[in-house]
Amino acid sequence: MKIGLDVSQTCAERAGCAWYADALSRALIAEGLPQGHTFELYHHFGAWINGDTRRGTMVDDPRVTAPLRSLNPAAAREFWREIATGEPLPAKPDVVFSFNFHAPRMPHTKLIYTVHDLAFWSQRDFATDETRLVCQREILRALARAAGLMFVSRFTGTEFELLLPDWLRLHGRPNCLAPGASRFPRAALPSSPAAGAPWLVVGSLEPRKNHLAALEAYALYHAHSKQRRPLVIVGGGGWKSEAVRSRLGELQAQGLPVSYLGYVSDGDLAAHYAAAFALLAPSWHEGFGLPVVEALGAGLPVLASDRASLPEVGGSAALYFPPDRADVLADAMISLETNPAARAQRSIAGLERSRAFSWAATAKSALEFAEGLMKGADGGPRA
Amino acid sequence: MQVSFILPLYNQLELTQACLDSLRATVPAGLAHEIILVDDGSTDRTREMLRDLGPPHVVLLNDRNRGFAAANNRAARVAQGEFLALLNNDLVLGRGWLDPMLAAFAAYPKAGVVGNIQLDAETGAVDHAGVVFRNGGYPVHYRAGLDEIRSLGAIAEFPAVTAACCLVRREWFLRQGGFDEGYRNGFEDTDLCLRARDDGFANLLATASVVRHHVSGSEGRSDHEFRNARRFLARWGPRTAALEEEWNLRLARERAAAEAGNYFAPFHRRLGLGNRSLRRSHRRALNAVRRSRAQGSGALRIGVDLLRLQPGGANGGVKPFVLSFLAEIGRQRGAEFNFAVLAPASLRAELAAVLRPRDFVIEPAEAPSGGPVPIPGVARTPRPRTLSVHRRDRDGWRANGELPVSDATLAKAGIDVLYAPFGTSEFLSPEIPSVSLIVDLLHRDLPAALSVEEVNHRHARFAEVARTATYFQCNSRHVVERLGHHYGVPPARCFHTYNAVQGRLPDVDAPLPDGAPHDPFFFYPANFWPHKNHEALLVAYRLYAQAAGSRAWPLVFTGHPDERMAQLREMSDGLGLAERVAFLGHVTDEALVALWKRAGALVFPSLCEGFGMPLLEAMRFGVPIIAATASALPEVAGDAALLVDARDPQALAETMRRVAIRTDVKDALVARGHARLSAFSLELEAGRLAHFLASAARRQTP
Repeated sequence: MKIGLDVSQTCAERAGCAWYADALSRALIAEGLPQGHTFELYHHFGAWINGDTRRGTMVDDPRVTAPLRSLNPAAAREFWREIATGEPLPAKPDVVFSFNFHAPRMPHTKLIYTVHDLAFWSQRDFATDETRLVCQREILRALARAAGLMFVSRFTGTEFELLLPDWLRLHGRPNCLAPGASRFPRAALPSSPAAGAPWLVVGSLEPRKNHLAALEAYALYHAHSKQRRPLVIVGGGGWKSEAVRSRLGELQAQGLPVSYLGYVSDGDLAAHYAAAFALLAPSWHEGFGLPVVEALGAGLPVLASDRASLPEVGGSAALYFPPDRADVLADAMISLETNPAARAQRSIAGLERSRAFSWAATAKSALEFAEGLMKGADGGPRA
Repeated sequence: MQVSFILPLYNQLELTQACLDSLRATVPAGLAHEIILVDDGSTDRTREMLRDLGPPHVVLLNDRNRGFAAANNRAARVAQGEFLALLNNDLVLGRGWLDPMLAAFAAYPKAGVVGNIQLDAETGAVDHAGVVFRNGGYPVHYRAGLDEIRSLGAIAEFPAVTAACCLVRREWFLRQGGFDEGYRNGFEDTDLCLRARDDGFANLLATASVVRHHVSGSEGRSDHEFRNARRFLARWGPRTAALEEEWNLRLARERAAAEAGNYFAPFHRRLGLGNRSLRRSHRRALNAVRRSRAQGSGALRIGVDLLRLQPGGANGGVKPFVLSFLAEIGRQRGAEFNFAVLAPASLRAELAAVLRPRDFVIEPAEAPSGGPVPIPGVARTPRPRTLSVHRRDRDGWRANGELPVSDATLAKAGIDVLYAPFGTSEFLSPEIPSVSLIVDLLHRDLPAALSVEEVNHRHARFAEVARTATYFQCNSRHVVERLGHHYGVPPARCFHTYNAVQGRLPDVDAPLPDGAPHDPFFFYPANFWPHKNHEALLVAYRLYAQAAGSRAWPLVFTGHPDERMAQLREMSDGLGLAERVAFLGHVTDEALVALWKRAGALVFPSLCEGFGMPLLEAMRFGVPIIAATASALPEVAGDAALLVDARDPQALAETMRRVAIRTDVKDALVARGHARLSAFSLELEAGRLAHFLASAARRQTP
């Protein structure tokens, strides 16, 4: 097959969906090249046009091309306008994977659309108006245009069913599960934390990630803990983060060892996982939750919110708390800290749990899904 | 009957008796009069006293205390006199107090509310000599020495006067609906005075009439101060703030003049009222304005820039709004206003229904560039090079020459004020006063709904017009607030007019347009703009329809049939709703009426509205309303809608289900809608626009 891959989001500062696009694209290529498939990377995709594509995902292989990488925004816009009006994509791919929520019209190829989450409808206050207007338009376009849908978690599939009941069945639209996985190699041994190993939070500063609960819990923990481990937050700037930033400042002013490191590189993130005591994941909502599976793979115990996809990802390895109960989280932190045996057990269970997720496995089932669409007579978009 | 004296009573029997005694002693001999006493639920022996009274007394009893406004209004409805003399029961009236007030009406046919000088009964100091505005438009009594006040002349104009002792024409008072009973013992009088100004009347102080007032006597005055003030400022804040500003300006001017002349002017002279020659010129100017308004001479030429208006429905709600307002203003002001409408030639047929003989259209000689609203970048739309002028007469249009375009075009066309219903105009210039209509601040409140270029373009234009426009006509109080929030425009430069054009649609029995379902249906008339949130409605509708099965109402969209309509139709089909969702495109007014008459409910899930005209149309045609909680919609809908977070398809679906199956809910909404509709009067709203246009044109404080 000739396969097109949307890597548009990887060109900017990367968050969940961009990491997903990067990792799954690489895995699809690694899995697909030996099978004789060829690939085309799109550094602009549909209405997602980048000012600068240099940081975008690249794979150095003659069978992987990047025809749009050198296009400036105006040319890229014109390119997709022509595709919508019936021009074929350069390599005339059989299927194209969309990872960026966009569903451009591509009359000559089958679109596989990744559904990351429906928080823009189900959790209004956790999505910007801009995100909502784009996502609600594009997902409805995808229903009209996509040959198949991929859900990043069962939870997202359930949310889809809740908002669009029976749509998949009535329309007979093929769909599959394509969960995320850790981008880092699985740790060989359970983690054994250093004496001052910090609590770690990974996620951009936006309301959905509920950093405030982590800070509240940490303040409670700090008041009761003998060890008083620091708290480290990594993640991009996000939006509507004033409350978190001001609370952070207050705690720092009180002398609490809380730090926000901003966006960190891939390598640095791996080092943070390796050095931490445990991951706190207090999100109100996640479509998947990459940091959880990455922490598990690093042998870190995970204390996660019991909402959305997080229990599905953490399985029985993580510990759960309601995201509106910082006190419960604080208790869990204290008990994890004061019970080394339990922590070690969590670490082992986490490593075991992380085996359930691998990019290779996801890529393999995504490829099979695409092949099925090519064979199946009824996979195409409806007229 | 000449005068009906009206006294609301609430306890304080001794004061009441003293007041009545002074009244009986001072009523001019031969004056045909009655004394209407309204007992407002007194608990002392007031009612015993009233039992013994006969003509000329008329006694009305309220079973409970209903407040100053209600008591006076009740009395006014039974009164017989040409004039109402509204009196507090703690007044002590002095000899000759009434005649100067009646004389004011005789001297000024346009006298609105006439007040007098009130002395504090205890101290003898002046407590009231008119009402002025302070501290951001808050009404306060004007106080000065008696001699100083009298140097203003026998009759002086004030922004307002107190109703503790005042005269109004009964017929006018009743036509106004009397005092607003939404106030509770405060601000009713100032509110009435401002309505009088709006109606073209002047509020006067008869300086030869002096009474005494037991100032602290009345009970329950300050109890409701906060609520009253809030109501008052919400309605009049911008206007009274402007009046205050004008007053201060005059003060500053006079002070400068005094300093230049190196003499010390008494306080009131510094207000521009005392200096004899200034006073005379002030009065001359006032009289000239009054005369011109009364006689219809000195017509104002109102330029209206409709160059961005297109035939058909591409402009959304702006067109019916502007055309209805212009027609109504033309009707109200007659020859006083002369319209000169800048518009593309393609609109002349639609304008013909609005313009009157002697009005003008001014059209670009070359074909208009056309195209929808988005304009690339922040570049200006090029001005046409020449304009051709046509004058309406009884038979049609008559060419009236060419007008070269320059910065002085408006001045050459004799335009006194430019009205810019699209907010900005290529013809704005500092020399010509202007009124800009601001319908929303979408580009700041929901920028994601527009392209970056359009956001930048609108922002540049708003920043410019925020500096240049004389007044801003806002679609709602919500928009006044947003304009202040985003551009720092003070409320004093804003006024709001509701789009009360629900009456513009003909009440005809027309057939439904092709493709419309016959059963009750959910109706969403809106252009297919992103902020209208059609996507969430489609998902909500599917949720509703899945649950309701074959009994589900269909969904009908109307709106300008653009590319996005095609895209939404694709989405609707993708959702499997092709059979149930109708996209009708732009429909005629008759077809729109047919749709309203058969619609089961209006669903209005828009994320950003400055007003929301379909709400009023739904109220008029008895259609229950579901509307978003966002922006101006709650302000317009009042209690006549089910409000819902329209970003949430599940909540929206549940609300639709409720309205479709619950007859009682539907009926209650329709009844509230009918009641709510009376809050929207085209006459009043257009009258306010006319008032501000005239004020700007004459460079007066409104």
